[in-house]
Amino acid sequence: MFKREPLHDEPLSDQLRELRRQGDGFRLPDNYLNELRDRLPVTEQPSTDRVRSLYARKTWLAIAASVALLLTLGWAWLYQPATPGSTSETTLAEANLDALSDDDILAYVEENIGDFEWTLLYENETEATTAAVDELSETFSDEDLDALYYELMEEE
Amino acid sequence: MQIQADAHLLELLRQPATRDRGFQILVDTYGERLYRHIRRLVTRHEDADDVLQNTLIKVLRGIDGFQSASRLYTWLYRIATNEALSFLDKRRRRQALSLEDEANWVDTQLQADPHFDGDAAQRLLHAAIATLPDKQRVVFNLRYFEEMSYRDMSDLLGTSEGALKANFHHAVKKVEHYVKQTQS
Repeated sequence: MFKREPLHDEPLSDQLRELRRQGDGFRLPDNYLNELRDRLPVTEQPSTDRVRSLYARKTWLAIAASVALLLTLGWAWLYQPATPGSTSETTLAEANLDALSDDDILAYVEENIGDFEWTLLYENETEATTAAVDELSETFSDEDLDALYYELMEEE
Repeated sequence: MQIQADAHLLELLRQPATRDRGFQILVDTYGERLYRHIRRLVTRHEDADDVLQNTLIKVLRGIDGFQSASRLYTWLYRIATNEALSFLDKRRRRQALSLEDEANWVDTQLQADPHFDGDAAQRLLHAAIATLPDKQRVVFNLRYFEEMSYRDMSDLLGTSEGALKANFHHAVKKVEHYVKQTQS
């Protein structure tokens, strides 16, 4: 647990010091933590175990999926329409991507950005990133950054 | 002492046979602190409950990847903070509230909250905190209510101590200004 560092030296008004003595006013409901413990699926395996078991126990599924994928790719390659001036460098993925508009791609990214593991991103943060963020914080105030954020949100 | 207890707790959580016991100790040791930290950010008990659940599920899922170089409580607080801020962001998008609207919303919620025992002055304080940008709100809460040192906060938030002090001082000025303005 972290060590408390009292607020003596902080520039707080008398009113804020008095409110601090009263606490935050929030109350933990009776028996809440016991109920929370009972509610959560503690015995669930960690995610890495689940990934391993999928391949270990359902190898046939992986093989079938691979065959289907190869057949689909082979069919797409053999029967792709010959267009004048086209080159064989256009991949299936590029062709599919071309069919989508910028708005479609943007909508997909916005819809799924919440699935990203922010915790992992945070833990993988490099020192260079931290330094860059610190520099940004020192150059611009939080108010400026917030104003920019809300401006961008409103434009959306 | 705490480091040894945390190392033992990690061992319990990592073994399927002892995970249940480990989870019990985890909730007993850190549950209330995490709940209060989250609750101060999201205000409503029901929301704090959702966010704490998600936090604990992420802790259980990520326990094998946890780097012991980082202290356990720092890691727990980091996950809880990220989850709470992510929740706040979604709630603001859903409700389309400005920070000023959010302050009024907080005051209204607390008036009817059976799990809030504070008086009008404490409600006003929480409304004032709701006008702060997210980062200032986190820094203000950790320093003001939990008396967390800037050093620990720096580990937790990955920001320099100088920047955190500046954040806290900005936040204090804003909170005091809001309280004074609203009372007059």
